[in-house]
Amino acid sequence: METVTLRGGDLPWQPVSPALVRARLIVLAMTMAIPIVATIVVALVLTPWVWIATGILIVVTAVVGYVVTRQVGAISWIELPEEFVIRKGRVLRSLVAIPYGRLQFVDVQSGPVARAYGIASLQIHTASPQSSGTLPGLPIAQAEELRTRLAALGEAQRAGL
Amino acid sequence: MSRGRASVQDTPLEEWQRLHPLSPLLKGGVFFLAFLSFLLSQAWDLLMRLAGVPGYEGFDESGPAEGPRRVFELGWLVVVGIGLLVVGIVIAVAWLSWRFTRFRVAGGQLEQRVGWIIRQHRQVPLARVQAVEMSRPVLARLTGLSQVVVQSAGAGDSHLTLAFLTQARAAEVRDELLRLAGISDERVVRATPGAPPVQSQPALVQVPNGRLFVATILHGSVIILGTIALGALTAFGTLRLGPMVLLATPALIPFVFGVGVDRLKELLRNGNFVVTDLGRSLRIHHGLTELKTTMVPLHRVQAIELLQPLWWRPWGWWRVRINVAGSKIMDGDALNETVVLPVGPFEDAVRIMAVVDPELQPEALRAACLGTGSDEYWHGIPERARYLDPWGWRRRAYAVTPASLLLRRGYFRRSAVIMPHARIQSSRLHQGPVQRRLRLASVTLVSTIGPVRPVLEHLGLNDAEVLLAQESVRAGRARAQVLEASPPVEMPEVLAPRHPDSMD
Repeated sequence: METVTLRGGDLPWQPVSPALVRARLIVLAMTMAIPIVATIVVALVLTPWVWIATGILIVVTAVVGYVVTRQVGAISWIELPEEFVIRKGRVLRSLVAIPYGRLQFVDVQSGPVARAYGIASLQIHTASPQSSGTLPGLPIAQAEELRTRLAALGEAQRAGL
Repeated sequence: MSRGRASVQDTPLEEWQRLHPLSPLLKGGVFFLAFLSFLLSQAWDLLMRLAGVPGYEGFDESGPAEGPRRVFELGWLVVVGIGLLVVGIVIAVAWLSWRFTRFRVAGGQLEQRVGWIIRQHRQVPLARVQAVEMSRPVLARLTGLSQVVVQSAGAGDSHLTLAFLTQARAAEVRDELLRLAGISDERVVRATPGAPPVQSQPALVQVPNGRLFVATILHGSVIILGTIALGALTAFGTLRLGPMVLLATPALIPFVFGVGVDRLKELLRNGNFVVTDLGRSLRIHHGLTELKTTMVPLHRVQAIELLQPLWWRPWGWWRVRINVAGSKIMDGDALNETVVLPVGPFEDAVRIMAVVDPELQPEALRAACLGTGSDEYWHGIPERARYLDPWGWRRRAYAVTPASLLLRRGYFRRSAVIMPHARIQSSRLHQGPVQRRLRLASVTLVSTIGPVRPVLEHLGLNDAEVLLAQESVRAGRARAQVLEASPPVEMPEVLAPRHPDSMD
């Protein structure tokens, strides 16, 4: 019986690809760029007071960017003989353990930015929407391989509801 | 099996067949009736006069002057004409809707085709059918019709409603679907189809409507409103704040209305509550105006909770609710089948639990419902958790039985959850910043969708991790046992004729 721990532990926990940090930062930059540019334009054209809004937006972007960097480092996962375990979060730590016998299906998703970095996210579904686990930032080949393997394991250990 | 009735009624289920011709009118029922009665009331005088009923003729003489009256009458004729036209269109649309709504059971699927212009074809694999329910809304009751609601496991709206069929046919269809789905909920021996079902089993638990009424009124929302009202009255009476209070009163009306409607709904839903033990399932009759029959297949029960709000404590009443796989929130009539005991003394709860989870000892149940503190069976949470849970920390605990994990919580509002090891979907561990300081963590054992959420908060971090690991092993073992115990459901390739004796 392996005891999974919320943090640390002796088990060979796998990190996710560091490319996820860059992918997420790019998505963040793209979403924040529009309002920032808009405030700059308004500040130049109408009133310099709007520079305050620009400043706030930039600070928010920087903070979120820092959080993203930290968060990605906190994601780790492991395949145990009976279950698949994902750990996440630094401030709000969480761990989800999904037995293979409970897998309903597994999705691999990859947006345009993630694809450019060659990573994908793996989504595991059980009969309860609450317990689906998402594992972002896997190299595409690894994600596909994992999906196939998990599906096979799920089929082999399938248990009814 | 008279040959005379062998028309629509006795079509074998594997052939496409239609619902009862009155169905569309009943579905649009209320509007149709309202419209009809409006027309009738408008046209009443005219009809009476045409029919020459005495007393209505007098209307002519005392009516307005000659010229305007003609126009008046002509106007009524036009109205009646339009009315008849509308009725004609309604009937035509209803007829089309009836023509194009068909269903059948074939190839292990229940299929329904709906729609004339926009056609819809819905398939529900019988292997996925979770429950089959029969219900009779008020209008359907007047006409002796019933609807069959088939619930299946699947995301989103996975219900299929066959509305409406005659009472006898609906019972047949339900039994047949249950049989084909391998659920075999009810083994009612029907000597002659169409005869009223035999009341073979005595009721397991019956909830008197008086008790239900009191318990429904004793609800947090009512108590809060009552307190506000009392406070307002006191302020009005003693503090001479009269005008202010009176000004604020209208603001409360929507709340009073909302609370009233909510309570009334619950009363209507849980009225006449009778639970019957059918061996492998519970049959629940409920509904004050709309009689409903719900089947709860025991092997689909995912988690159970016993609940006691503070206000029920003087009476020692409990509510028992469950998570059932595949039960979804149905249109407005939310979560009706998740309550297996709306309110009852502890003995009633024990009686129900003896059927739902026979392996659970009543003493363990009592400890889960009423106990506090740790002992050799119950693992409590550490005292340092009182910073996060000043009252409830003594009560929060878990215990392990061979079949399930028991969780208890709630100092004011008592709750005991029974989570069978074999039913755990996945397990989670969470830790917020304060919990991290206190070296605590919360464990969630994820169940399927439903009102019961098996969560144990503020366990010691180490205990939580150990519980998770142990539970993972226990759940794996329990799942393997369940798999061995229940042979896979056999899906019939070809459906056998329903009544072999009716072939002659």
